[in-house]
Amino acid sequence: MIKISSITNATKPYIQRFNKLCEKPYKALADFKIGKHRPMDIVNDNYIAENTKFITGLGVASIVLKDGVGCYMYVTQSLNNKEIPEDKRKFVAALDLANGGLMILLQLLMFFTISNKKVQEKMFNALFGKHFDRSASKGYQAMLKNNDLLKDMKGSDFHPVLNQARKDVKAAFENVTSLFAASVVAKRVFVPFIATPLADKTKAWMSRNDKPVEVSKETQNTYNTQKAGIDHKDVKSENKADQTKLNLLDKFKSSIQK
Amino acid sequence: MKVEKANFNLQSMPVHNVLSSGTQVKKSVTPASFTGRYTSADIYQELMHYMPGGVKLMMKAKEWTGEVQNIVINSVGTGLIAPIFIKYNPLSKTDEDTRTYSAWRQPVSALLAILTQVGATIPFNNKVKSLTHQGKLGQDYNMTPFMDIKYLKKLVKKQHPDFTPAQINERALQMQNEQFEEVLKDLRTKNTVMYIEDGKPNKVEMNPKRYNETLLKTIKSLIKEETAEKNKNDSTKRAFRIRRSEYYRTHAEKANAHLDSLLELFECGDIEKVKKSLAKKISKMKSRKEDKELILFTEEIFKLGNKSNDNKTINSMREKVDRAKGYVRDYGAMTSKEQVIERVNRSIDGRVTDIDKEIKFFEKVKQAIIDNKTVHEIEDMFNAEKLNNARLQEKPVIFAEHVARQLKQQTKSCIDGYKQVGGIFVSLATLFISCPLLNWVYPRFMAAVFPNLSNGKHVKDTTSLILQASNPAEFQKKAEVKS
Repeated sequence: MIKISSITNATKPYIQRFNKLCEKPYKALADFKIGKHRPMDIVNDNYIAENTKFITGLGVASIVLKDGVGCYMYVTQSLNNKEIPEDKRKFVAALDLANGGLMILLQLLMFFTISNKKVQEKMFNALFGKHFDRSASKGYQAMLKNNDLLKDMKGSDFHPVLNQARKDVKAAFENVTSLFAASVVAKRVFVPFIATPLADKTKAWMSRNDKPVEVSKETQNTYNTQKAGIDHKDVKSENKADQTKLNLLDKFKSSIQK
Repeated sequence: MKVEKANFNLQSMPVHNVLSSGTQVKKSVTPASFTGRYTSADIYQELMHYMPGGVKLMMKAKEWTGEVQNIVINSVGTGLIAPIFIKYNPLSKTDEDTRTYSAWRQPVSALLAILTQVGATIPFNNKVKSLTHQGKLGQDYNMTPFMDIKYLKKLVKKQHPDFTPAQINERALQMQNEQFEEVLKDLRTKNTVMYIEDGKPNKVEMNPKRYNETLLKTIKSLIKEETAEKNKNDSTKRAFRIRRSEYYRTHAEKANAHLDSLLELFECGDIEKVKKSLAKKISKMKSRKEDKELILFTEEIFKLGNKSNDNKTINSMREKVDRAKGYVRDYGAMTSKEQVIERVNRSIDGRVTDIDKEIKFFEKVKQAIIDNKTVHEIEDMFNAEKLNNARLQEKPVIFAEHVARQLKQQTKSCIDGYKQVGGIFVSLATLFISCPLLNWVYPRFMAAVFPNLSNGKHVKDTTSLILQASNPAEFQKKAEVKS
């Protein structure tokens, strides 16, 4: 009978080799050079200097980059996705395209507005200013002195720490608000508002050379594929008339139910 | 996270003191390294304990800054906000069914993004942590002299599977302290920091250029701190003290009566009662629109005990009021604003001069670092300067500790940056999985949950109904086979 330890021993070198192989991309990113310069040095310097705008910007850039790639992939895949009803396929793709473009634009715009120093300072002072003002500082100092270890704490030791705490909270606040403004407010509140009507236009533009698509009766669709952007009420009334005239299956269904 | 075995020389445990936050901090330490007094990290930790929930939440957000946080915030918007604005968009002329169909794509997409992107980023971050703790990513990202407590706990657990959680915690803390002391010793005796590189047992010296940069950054940050303190005294503090002192001069009697009324409140000796009475007093003063300066002062007293349940806090309150009474007596005797300004300026200028002297000394230290002086020599400079510098006399000589903390912080920052950039590549790569996955899952999810909006189920229904209408015999046959 084969022992488990012998299997482990036999596989150990392979696992070690595999681990070494896995480490290569990590090392490559750390050592990557363009000419004599390491791009990671720029990142390191900004992170060491706690450059909040750079750190938040990198986060927003990551989201924008993913949106760009995602938008391209979603549009091409939606157009070729046979699982989506044909009459809805172009609208879904158009919505993806309009969404993608607007998302990138509005997110960048929102990031540059919200991460503005003056805007940040005002928002931070309104929400957290009272926790770092003079009276709060005196209060914390008194409370900290109740602790035996800190009973001899001097103001000159305490103030730099409070300043650091304020700086840390402000950096986190700037990061969260900028990301929230860009990826929630701009991307998910403003964009759909503009993108959905824009998708109507985009879809009409994408379908400009198409033959009219037959609407699937089973989906109870109320959308007129021949004329994008037609009035909602008109389409509903048209479809109602269609249903009374043509939907024999429904008639048959109700007759067998009776 | 992968934890490599390491050989640490574990000696007797140091004595620990417990902060309000429940965290143990070192109390007695060797004179060669720690000073035996509190560190700024202790103050920071204790301060966070008293901070309100919102501030604590932001601190948590800071800890989580990185790709995972970006993905989660982004997904919250995608999954919870976007569908509402797609479905109930009054500007859209598209029919409701199609909008509902499109809206449902968002939560499905958010869920898949979290599953795939976070699912890939977390192991990536763990691997980075493991590699940095083995010194495999270069010195910028080398955490071997400052191992993380969680990593050390796993290390102890691996070496001693029989240990209880309390023992593991204690041993990990001990190892962390010993590591820090070793860094201080190396700084003072070898004028360098030693690193484990690539998991090899022989330690290597820190790159001299990086070392010199770290020393410079340390002294620059001390200069920055003192300059901020000087500016604060020069502008904010000066303006505030002139304003309040002038109020005391012009409203001495009123201020005195108010301070006496505050002293009366403290007589009960119960902090809870004092806090309640102060809150009542403040709201009464505000509704009566009393003098702003008195309201502000009362609020300062209230905030002294805001989060405290300790009756000792009343003493701090009483001391502050007594001090204020002294100021009222002094400034109340003055006859003009000029006198007040002159007195305040004299007091503030004295402090500013002291800070200036300290900054000048730090500039000298900066030059000494440029001239390649060792940490030991620099600490000697501090000791010599202490004799003539009032502000330095208050502080212990811990330049090596400042350097060690600076290096630890900058290594952590570099790792955060590395994780963020790497995280972008990882989550971009997962898009090639999550996008096709969404296109596969989404129509199937809709067909299963909302058949009315999808072709899927209806195709089956209608086929069966057509068969039943056109060929009842075969329909019956098929139904029998199925049953």
